Amino acid sequence: MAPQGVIVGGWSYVIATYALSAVVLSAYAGTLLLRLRRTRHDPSRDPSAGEGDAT
Amino acid sequence: MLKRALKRLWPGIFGFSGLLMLLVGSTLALSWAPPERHMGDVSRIFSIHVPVAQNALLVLLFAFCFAIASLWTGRRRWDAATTAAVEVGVVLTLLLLPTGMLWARPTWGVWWTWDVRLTTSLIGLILFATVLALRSFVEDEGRRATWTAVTTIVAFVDVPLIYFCVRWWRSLHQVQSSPETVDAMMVLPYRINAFGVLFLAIYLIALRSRLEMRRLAGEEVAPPPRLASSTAL
Amino acid sequence: MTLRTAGGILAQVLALAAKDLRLEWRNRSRIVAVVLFGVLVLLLFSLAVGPDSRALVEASGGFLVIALLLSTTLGLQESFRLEHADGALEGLRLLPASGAAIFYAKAISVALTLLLLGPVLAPVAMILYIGEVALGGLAQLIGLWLLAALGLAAPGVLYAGMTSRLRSQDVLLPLLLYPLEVPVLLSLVKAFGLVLRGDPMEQMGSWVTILLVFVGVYWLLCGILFEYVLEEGT
Repeated sequence: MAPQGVIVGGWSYVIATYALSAVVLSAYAGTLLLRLRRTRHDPSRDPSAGEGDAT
Repeated sequence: MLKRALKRLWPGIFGFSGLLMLLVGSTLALSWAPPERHMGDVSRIFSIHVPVAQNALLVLLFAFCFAIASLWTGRRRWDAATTAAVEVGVVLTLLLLPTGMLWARPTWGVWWTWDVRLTTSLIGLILFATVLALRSFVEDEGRRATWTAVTTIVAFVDVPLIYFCVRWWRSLHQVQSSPETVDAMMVLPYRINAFGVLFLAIYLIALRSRLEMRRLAGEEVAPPPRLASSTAL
Repeated sequence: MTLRTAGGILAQVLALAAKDLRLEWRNRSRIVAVVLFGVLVLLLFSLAVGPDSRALVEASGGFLVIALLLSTTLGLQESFRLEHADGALEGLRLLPASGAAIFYAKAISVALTLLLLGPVLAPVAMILYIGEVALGGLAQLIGLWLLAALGLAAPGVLYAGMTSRLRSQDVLLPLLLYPLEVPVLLSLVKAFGLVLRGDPMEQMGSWVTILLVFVGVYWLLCGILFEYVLEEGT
């Protein structure tokens, strides 16, 4: 018996929003970690090169 | 020794605490907070949409400051930081639009409308995405750093527009509400999530910036510069 | 800044702008081609919409803006192709002129060249879409185009200067320029629409204000940044 003008339900939208946020943020973080790991295993690169400043 | 460890670990600390805050805040938003008087349960979308939106603008502000530092000093570190902040800002804006659409559909009845705030946000997304696209076209490092900084600074013109447009023009999208006007039990999950997204964003920027530094250092090692210039996104 | 150095910079800007305009004049066949292209775009829109004259009137402001924008892009690319063909921009860097002076000179000459598009395309759009030419409206359209040309010229020169060195210039210039110009284009479309369809609510002032603000911001910002772009050279 909701009063007039109130949006009833909508839980599917709420769940979709939170799920989407979780997926997007973790997917981006995941690709970053993966790419970082890939550069680390490259033997031609100095692992501490990230701290240097060549310019 | 401790200082060294801290230097290596600080992004992880930010990332972990951001994740924790987001878990706590979202759980509170979904279970503990009461439904809003008019919007009902749909209002729970706010607790993630608004933090993402605010932090997207904040991260783009970081990018703007990094870009100025990069132009000023010409140091590689700032160029990497600018790129990282622009990319994280683009990811957050990319998340901001669909979460907003998922709210618009049950409340306004449409997925998308050409409202000023929606339009300016979409333009912002395109502007900063082109900055990243431009980077992949330039091979000379110094020139790429300058152009990234210049385009980031010019693109930033849109950011205050996104923020203030709802006040300047009457718009479908509501004006920023102050915490005093909202139920305290709804404010708490939103606040926790806001800091959660911010900490996570800092972690992501640090990670991406470290990756870019390695990439730039790798370009120096590898004789043909084109091999290392493949860019994400 | 003292009055004397300010005067010196102004003299530099004027001298460089005069040089740029002289160059544009010598290559006037390019300008004619760009203007003709704009007329062609206007014609294509009226063909795309068909003989429904009401729909044409409704969208006339937008069509005119798109035609002007496409010609502007073409004009910018042509203008900078010239600059790079013989390394002319590098030559300018040897002069004792500041980067800002070079930028403003180029922006002024580009804006003046773009300005030529208005008096040709606006009456053509009025004839094709509305069916009659009102002199008062025409003057307003050209006045608005003056503002928009200024708003397009500053970021246009900055980005054309950057991308003209790249092989993918033809893609990158519109990609960078168009999203940036959306606020200018949007207010121009609204203002053109008000001229072409009438302005019962007197909204013209607010759109002109937005145009003025963006012109100011772009001219200031791009003038500062051009120095750094020029430093990078080729």
